[in-house]
Amino acid sequence: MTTQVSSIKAAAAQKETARSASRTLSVRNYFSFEELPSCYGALFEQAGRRSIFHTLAWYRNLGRTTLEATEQLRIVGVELEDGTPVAALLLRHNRSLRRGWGLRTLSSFSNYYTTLYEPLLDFSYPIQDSLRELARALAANSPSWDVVNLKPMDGESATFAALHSALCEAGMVVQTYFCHGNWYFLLNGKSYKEYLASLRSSVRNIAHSKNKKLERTGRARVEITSGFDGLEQAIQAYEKVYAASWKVQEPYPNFVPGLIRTCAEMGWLRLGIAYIDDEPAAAQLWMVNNGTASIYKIAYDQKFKDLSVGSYLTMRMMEQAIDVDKAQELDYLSGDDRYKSDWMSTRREHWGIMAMNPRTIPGALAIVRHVGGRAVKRIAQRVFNSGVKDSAKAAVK
Amino acid sequence: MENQINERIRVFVLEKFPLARKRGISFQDDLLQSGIVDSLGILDLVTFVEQNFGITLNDDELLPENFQTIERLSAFVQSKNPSEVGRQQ
Repeated sequence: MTTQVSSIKAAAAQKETARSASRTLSVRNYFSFEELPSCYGALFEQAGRRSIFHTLAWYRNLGRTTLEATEQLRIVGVELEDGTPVAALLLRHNRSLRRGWGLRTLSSFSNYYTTLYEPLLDFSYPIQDSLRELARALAANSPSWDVVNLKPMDGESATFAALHSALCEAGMVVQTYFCHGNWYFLLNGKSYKEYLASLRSSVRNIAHSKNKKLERTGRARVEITSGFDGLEQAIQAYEKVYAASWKVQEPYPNFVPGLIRTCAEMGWLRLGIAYIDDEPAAAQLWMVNNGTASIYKIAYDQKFKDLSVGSYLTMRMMEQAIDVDKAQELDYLSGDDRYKSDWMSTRREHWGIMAMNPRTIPGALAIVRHVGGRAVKRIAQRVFNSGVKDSAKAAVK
Repeated sequence: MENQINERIRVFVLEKFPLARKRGISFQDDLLQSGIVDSLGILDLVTFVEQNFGITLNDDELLPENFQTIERLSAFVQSKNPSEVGRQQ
């Protein structure tokens, strides 16, 4: 059996090598989701299995609700001869051409609302090859980009390392930077009760006692909306709570309602509202997809603070995600807030990549700013003297 | 004093950049658009200004606009720290 499996693997590897060696890749730019050929759907699907933030539905809502009139969406696709995409990078930039010497920046199509970003990749094709082609195209763009800024990405992933190398090879000076911590909990089949038992006793006991107290009053109830039934009322309740909470006003007011509707359509939605005396008092937006329950937004009305209605709702949402939705991972998404480490067990980090172009004046000045003057001159001289191929050596991590 | 700064920068540009020697330059010529100073050259200019006028450029001052002509660079240097610039001379 082992031999058979090995020979199948060897044959597949040979086929893969042949596929890589025999095929020519080309790069195409698209400027809207509507322009994308339907075969890109498979790429989004594959990436969407790893995170909700890589799905087409996520990106469409982000585009509809946050893209400024001055900004242009750009999807750079790496395709085989028959048009099959093996990689795509979703980006945005200013529509207008450079005025004066303004920095010409190409940024990931991500923002404050995005916890995780990465190139969409077909992993059946060697990712080093597709990312190399992608990076070459970005570096060779005319007019040139001064800076390519991609964030937030899993700094430990093979994709991150391969993208970093590819941008260096393309002659960019690359620097990585920390974006945010990300707390999560791998359930490994635990039930809600077992999950609670695994928390620090201080967290568990405080949450339990406050919940009991609130339940005894008989004033509290929780409603969790997961589809279109009662959705608009739930959105109104969410927005009412959010406005009365400590949170700053949303920079893009249509984004969250748009996301809630998208989640309802995709079957990801768990919008929990806790009512006190029939008044919305706390709200949480969770997204459940492919075994991961992502805790996206939490808020409570400050006048109910003493009742700990936020913890009360959190526990009900946890119960739903673990025992009903059978989530295997709980994810508190962006940030190192203290309460996240109370409820989760493990921390990982998300990082950004800033690739600066030493061949443009604003790019060179950006390198001085971000890397430092003395070292930069040495690096830049090597880049210019050696050409693109050797510039990887000059990259600064 | 501004004329002295202008002249010191002009001498440096003429020494360092062959195209400047070939074409000749005035204080008002655009160093960047004309291609006299390229992206590697701008690093030389940053280093020269910091070392010769005893100033440190902040991140938000590293703008191409400040390096566009000898006149602009000179005005920028003087605005940074006139007394220090005076002492360096």
